[in-house]
Amino acid sequence: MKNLILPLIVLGIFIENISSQTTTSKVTRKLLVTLQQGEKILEAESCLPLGISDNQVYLVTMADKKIYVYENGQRKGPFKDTEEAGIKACNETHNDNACSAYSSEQTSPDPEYLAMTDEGQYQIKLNGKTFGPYMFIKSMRIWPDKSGFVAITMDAEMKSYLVTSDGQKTALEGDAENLRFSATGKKYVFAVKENPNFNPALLKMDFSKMTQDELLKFAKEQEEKAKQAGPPKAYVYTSNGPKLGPFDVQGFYTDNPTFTKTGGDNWIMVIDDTLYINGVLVKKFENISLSTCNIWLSKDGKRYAIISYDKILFSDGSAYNYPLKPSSSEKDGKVYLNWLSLENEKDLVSFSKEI
Amino acid sequence: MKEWLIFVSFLYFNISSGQDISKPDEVNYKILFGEKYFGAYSYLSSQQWITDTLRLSGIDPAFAKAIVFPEIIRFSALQNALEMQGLFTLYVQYGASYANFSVGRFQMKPEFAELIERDAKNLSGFYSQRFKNVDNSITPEARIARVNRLNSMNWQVQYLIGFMKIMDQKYEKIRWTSATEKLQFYATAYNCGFTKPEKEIRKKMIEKHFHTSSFRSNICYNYCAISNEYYYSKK
Repeated sequence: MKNLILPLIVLGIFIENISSQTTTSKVTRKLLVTLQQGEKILEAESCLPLGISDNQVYLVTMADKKIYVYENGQRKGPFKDTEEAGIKACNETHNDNACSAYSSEQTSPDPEYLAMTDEGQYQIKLNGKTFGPYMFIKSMRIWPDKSGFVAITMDAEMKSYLVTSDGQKTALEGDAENLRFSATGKKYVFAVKENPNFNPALLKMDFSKMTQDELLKFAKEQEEKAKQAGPPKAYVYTSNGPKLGPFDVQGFYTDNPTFTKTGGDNWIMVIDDTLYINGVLVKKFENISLSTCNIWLSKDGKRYAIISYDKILFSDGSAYNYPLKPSSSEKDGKVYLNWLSLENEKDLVSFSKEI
Repeated sequence: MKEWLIFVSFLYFNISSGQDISKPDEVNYKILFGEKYFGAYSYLSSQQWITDTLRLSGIDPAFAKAIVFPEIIRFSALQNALEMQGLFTLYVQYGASYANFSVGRFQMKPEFAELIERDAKNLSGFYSQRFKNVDNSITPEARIARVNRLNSMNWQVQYLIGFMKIMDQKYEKIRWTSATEKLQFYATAYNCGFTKPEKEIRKKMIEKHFHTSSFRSNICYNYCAISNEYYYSKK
């Protein structure tokens, strides 16, 4: 019984500073909990009842069909079931920091800065200046300091444009996807995908006046044009310079490209398991499925860490096995990646390392 | 609207007062699961490619969809709390005996995938081909690949087809008394484990184990009754 009661949480039992290679940053390793013989993290359906906050671990385990709860430095239990244990709902232990992509605020046009012309077109009004008119404003972002804006507009032919408060108006090749902004708010990046099925000229044509032969001829011409154009391409637009591309359209999704929670004004993009930082190809990875959600950047964008199911890879060449609950923190202007790992099926260990 | 509120209040009272309202024929799952039920229904109706893929495999789409329908309800109830990264890591590190959790809309567990991969290789020609090149070992690399497959809807449908074909082969000699009996048997096998003995699956057909929370609740429902309701709504 004693060994059941004795809390085996060893907060801060030992902290090791392991310096792996001369160029690598140090990793801090701390043993949090040693599970007892036969004890394992409770198997929940789609939830990992494990959380950490301020070095306090929350963990639900099972041993001999009994439930135990580790919380505030104590092991409580045994409980006969999860209800008696009063365990937290999984979303309370949820780590909302798990995805590294930075989600900026909504980019829907703010009515406060909009006006409408007599012809029913939109204008943007900011700091005494009027911009436009535009037939339609698809997305818009006013800088946090209200000094300017960026917007995606459309004309009567549904063609998209990038418009900025410094007078830029750039015709886009297709549909603009998910305008992303850095945490500071003034840097943007987005992908544009060509849409071979969209032809603005068609909007002006009156097919009712065409004969069947003319229609057939027109359809064949369109088909030939599409063949010559080849597969649709994608381009990346950024506040920092000229557009990038062309790329294969398949590689782009909601958070790709994106800024990150930790990387300041630096943005990332993943295409075919290849990492780009600020548009520059950094590395193609083998045997690892890259996603922008799993790439963490240093503040200056020069270093990174990549998290997969079986390891964390740092750009300094170091690697650590089987990370759980990855999250980031900042101290003295430096970005740290923190994670847990269950070693030898019994030791729950926390790690922290500067990216 | 008023009637709806009255019924929901009645339902809430019954649940909160601990009455067992989950006896077959007494539960209206549409009202019980509300928008999650209709979300699942709408999802299955909108995914024409799933219907086509099942039909091309010689499977009645309504039958196969009915088997996974309760899981889709569950998935939509849980999706805000889903936390797969850590569970995947524990599975890759220690295997299904340590971490065997539900993944994706069809709520397939890694162990289920392992068993389908193993048994599908014994299916007749065409269907065994789909899993022929799948590494069904339990190395960390094979587990990562399995996790990636489970994260793909295309593969979830392939695993469902594999399950159907394995069940058809295993129980080909049974003369089902009705489509309902067959559906209830298949749905229960899907939910509780298709490698269990027939007798045990039949026993579980009348038991209530289905819930829509992360941890097992005191209020559970009969899985195959929900499948059944869906199936006959599509007939």
